[in-house]
Amino acid sequence: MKTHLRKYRFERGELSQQQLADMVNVSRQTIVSIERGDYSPSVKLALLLAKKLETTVEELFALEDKDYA
Amino acid sequence: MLKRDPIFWWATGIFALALLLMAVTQNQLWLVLMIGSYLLRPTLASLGVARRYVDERQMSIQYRSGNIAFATMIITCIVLAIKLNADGNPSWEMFNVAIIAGLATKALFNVILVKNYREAATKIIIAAGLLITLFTSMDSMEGGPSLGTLINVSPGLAIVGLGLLSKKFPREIGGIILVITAVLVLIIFSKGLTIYQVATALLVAVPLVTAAACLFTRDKSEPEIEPKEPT
Repeated sequence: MKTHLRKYRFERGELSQQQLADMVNVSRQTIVSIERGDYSPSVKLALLLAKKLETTVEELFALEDKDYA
Repeated sequence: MLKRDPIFWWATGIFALALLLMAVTQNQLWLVLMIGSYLLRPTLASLGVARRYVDERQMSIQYRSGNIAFATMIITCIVLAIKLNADGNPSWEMFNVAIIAGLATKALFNVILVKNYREAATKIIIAAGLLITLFTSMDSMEGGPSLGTLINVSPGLAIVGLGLLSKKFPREIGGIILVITAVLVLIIFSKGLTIYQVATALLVAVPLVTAAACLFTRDKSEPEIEPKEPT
């Protein structure tokens, strides 16, 4: 899964990973893992992230070709 | 970075208590309390308590590592039980109790966590009935099958039957199951009050009482609704 979390984090006031983590009540490591593509967040967390970054889930996350295999 | 929330302070308290009790009593067995401080957060989260103090990615890692740890513990118990049995040490049965308790707990929560409580109850009662039938038949088959064997296995088979009936008469069967559980526990304790009797009583009573409680709850499952044909 492709993610644009890092891009939106910088576009929305250059938030640090820790600041964003505190806003959605997860650990900084979880934000790191999502940005690296190592962890797919739950629907609830994806919606929370989108809300806090004033965007949509579809803008933040997108499926890649290999995800359809 | 450590998260200093209430769970952190409870875990720290348990850890300190373990050290204090060991220092006061000079008994190293108190150090097993430290396991409690380590397992506090994932256990509370798995039980659905204090979810706001739990990070979902960490929990997903905990679930996976927990399953691997569970399999490792079961294998270790089996190896130790085989070793004790080969040495002629009768305490190998203690490991059997640990294995059955672990597997029964996993199976019980696997059906309960689906939250279709009445369906879970039926599955639990049938499984408990089959296991009781299996163990009583193993105990009474030593001299070959007889009328006594049939009498001994009949309570287990009756419980299986009640499990099948629980779909139609949940509350009535729930009440009957509670009475049967009480009778079974009395029969088990009439044979003595050893650790094996207590373990057997718990293995029989906990699933059956849980199933009875499930039968008294309102079922959340809803019938599947077919989409209407477009007109």
